[in-house]
Amino acid sequence: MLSSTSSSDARLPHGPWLKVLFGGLLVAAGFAGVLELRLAARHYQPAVADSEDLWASERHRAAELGDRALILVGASRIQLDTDLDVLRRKTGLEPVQLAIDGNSFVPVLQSLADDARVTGTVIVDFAPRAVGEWERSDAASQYAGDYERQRHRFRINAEASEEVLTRWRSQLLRSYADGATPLSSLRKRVLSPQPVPQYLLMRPDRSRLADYRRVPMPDFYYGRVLLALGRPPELEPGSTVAQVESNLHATIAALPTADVDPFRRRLADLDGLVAAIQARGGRVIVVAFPVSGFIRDIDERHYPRARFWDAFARNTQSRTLHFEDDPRLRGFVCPDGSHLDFRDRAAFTSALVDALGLAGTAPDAAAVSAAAR
Amino acid sequence: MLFNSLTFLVFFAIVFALHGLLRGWTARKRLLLVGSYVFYAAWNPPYVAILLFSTAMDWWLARLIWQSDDDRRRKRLLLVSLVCNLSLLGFFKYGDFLLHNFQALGATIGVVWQPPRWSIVLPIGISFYTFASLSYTIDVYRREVKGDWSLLDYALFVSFFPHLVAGPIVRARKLLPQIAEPRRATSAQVGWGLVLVVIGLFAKTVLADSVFAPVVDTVYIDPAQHGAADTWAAVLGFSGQIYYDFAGYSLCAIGLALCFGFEFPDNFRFPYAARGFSDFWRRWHVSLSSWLRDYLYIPLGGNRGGELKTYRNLMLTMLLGGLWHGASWMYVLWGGLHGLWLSLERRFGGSDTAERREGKPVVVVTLVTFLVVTLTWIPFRAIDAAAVLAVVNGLARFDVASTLPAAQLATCILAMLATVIWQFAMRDRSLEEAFERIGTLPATAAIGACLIGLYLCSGGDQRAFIYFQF
Repeated sequence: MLSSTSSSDARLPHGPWLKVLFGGLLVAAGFAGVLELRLAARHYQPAVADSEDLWASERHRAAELGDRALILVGASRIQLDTDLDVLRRKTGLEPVQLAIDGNSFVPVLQSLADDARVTGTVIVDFAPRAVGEWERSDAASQYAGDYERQRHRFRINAEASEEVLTRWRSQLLRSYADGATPLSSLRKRVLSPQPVPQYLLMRPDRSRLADYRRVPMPDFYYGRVLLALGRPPELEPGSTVAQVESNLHATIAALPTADVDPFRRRLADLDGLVAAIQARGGRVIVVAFPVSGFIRDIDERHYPRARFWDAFARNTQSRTLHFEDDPRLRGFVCPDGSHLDFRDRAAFTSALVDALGLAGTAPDAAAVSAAAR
Repeated sequence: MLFNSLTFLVFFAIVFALHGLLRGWTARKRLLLVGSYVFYAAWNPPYVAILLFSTAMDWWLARLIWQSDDDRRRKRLLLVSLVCNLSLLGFFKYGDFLLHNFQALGATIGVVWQPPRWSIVLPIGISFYTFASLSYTIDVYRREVKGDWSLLDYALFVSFFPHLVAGPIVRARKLLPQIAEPRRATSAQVGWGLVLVVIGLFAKTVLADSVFAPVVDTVYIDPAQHGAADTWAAVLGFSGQIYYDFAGYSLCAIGLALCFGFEFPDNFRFPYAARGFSDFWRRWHVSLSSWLRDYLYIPLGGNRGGELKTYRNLMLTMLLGGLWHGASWMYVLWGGLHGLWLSLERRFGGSDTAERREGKPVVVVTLVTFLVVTLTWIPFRAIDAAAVLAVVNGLARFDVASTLPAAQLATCILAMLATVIWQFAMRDRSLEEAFERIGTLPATAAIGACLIGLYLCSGGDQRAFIYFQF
């Protein structure tokens, strides 16, 4: 583009350019304001998008907090089911959310075990598949590997500040919620006759809230079950609830059981990670989080409790808790079969802390009570 | 720090505000210098040392050249400057390339040698600031510019953040006198400068990144999988992507400099309206093509030594110009093709003066030039020779079925068509004329539309400007 600014003021175009710019800014701000209002009217909320940088900053905190850290490791279940405020209030510890949606807990636990600075309490959301597929490469292995490579590197650069500013923007504006762009928000959430509901909300502390009242049930639930079966989440048009459930029952009954040998072979490795953390004074607690309905059936079919969970629980140095074994946890229902609604998080977290005996276990709290005695 | 990032917005707001608050020209220059070094350090703090070294060395050598009356000593000093600058550029930019080519050459004569793993990151903008620096020592040697500027002025000339990492390659003779003379931007300069920044960001973020890049990336990543429609869209799209990316960056640079009262030269003059290849190079990346003309083509002899030497000089200039873009034979091929087109044009078409063009259908000449330039971009974008062949095969493939979303494909092709028509209409005009002519209200609407476009396309993955890698 020829932009003739090269000679002198004489070549500058005549015009009130600051006013033009200000007017243009008003037009654009008006547009952005209307988009924000339309999104608010459709109950969308600002939300950050998960990212490797966000995870790395929490991972850094897990080490820096020392024995005051309550570190949560796993996948979406522990991320959606636990309320960090309740954990903080009841235990006196500082929760650190390191769970990564859809990923193995193994690389993260390995990273914590390898880091001598980590001396806190670690709660692991147990998934037998992650143990059987120990070497699986996924986002968790990438996040943990990158963190290890970069943690000694001097990092004050534009990338770091951009991450902070971008996160701040996502926390302020609905049009950037969940990592969306304003264009995709406009197309899929405002102009679309069937807008994609925002039922999941990610907070800057990496906890996530699921509002299952915002999705059409039971279709959403069946969709999740189909996904768990490795199928597209669409139901056959015109099928009744009875037909869908009957088909699902039949499919689940025919599911094969996972090979237990790879799982067994890795139990000693898993316990090695537990031992490394506990040798430094840390604690590792492994929890099987609630599942319901067809998802529970699928889990039981793939990974029968007796062959997987019980075998692990018998042979580990870590403390273990299966939700079915504690009456305080047994009654919670997962609307999508796999996760709790955000309205149940606080109650579940409180019950979990009680079941694990973690209430008031912070080192400071112990010191205070000892001094009082 | 990308111009299209939130971090840059904050950085610019701080520097601009402080610049306005400070009294005294020296204080403001120091602020701009510190700001420019912070801007550069935002990528890789240790590489500031290379910029410092290069600046201090050329400032000192130019001073010695300026003070000396001994021609042999002046020549030796210039040689030191050339060797040091080109060695730095060669080491960082072409080290890995040279090692691998030596290895390949050795292998052909039976010498098996494994070069060490090259893990040195290319200092961003090194090609631009090396060329800016070199032009200074050469101009001082030629006595075309004086060589006794203060170190502060010279350091600000080299590192001034609007042009530091991707040009335009501003000549010392243009910028140093502006830096030496106290100045404060007028409200007209600030206003128009910011308007240029908005238009530049719109060109980069909306047109280059959102309209063209998705089509180009999808096809070029695996060209063998795409039919003629997709491949043509991608080839046309890359013409649009690289133009809006780099012209957008240049507009931002010109606008930002203007906000501080500095005037940079134009870098693009509606290049897709060019009538012939010499005309194209007078319109595309003007600061580089004029640098190559003044410091390479003319010193080689230009067109003064007869036809054959002129062709040789054209080819050498364009081959080295291609290599300047990056350590890859694909850039050399791209430069070589342009050298060939320029030579053929000279041989058969003559220069593109108005008299010679008279009587020729300008639309056809413009379209043919655009088409050849567009096809010549293929090696520039393709990763290797196999990819070039795959794209060329794709253009001729009978299968026209598209695997790209229809809306994306149509937007890309229509946007490129609109670009060519717009450039044809604007060929001998300027953005300034256009904005002056349309009046305040439509101009406000146009800037509002650009800002809305920027807002809508923000929040995705930020793409670095293509020319940052050079």
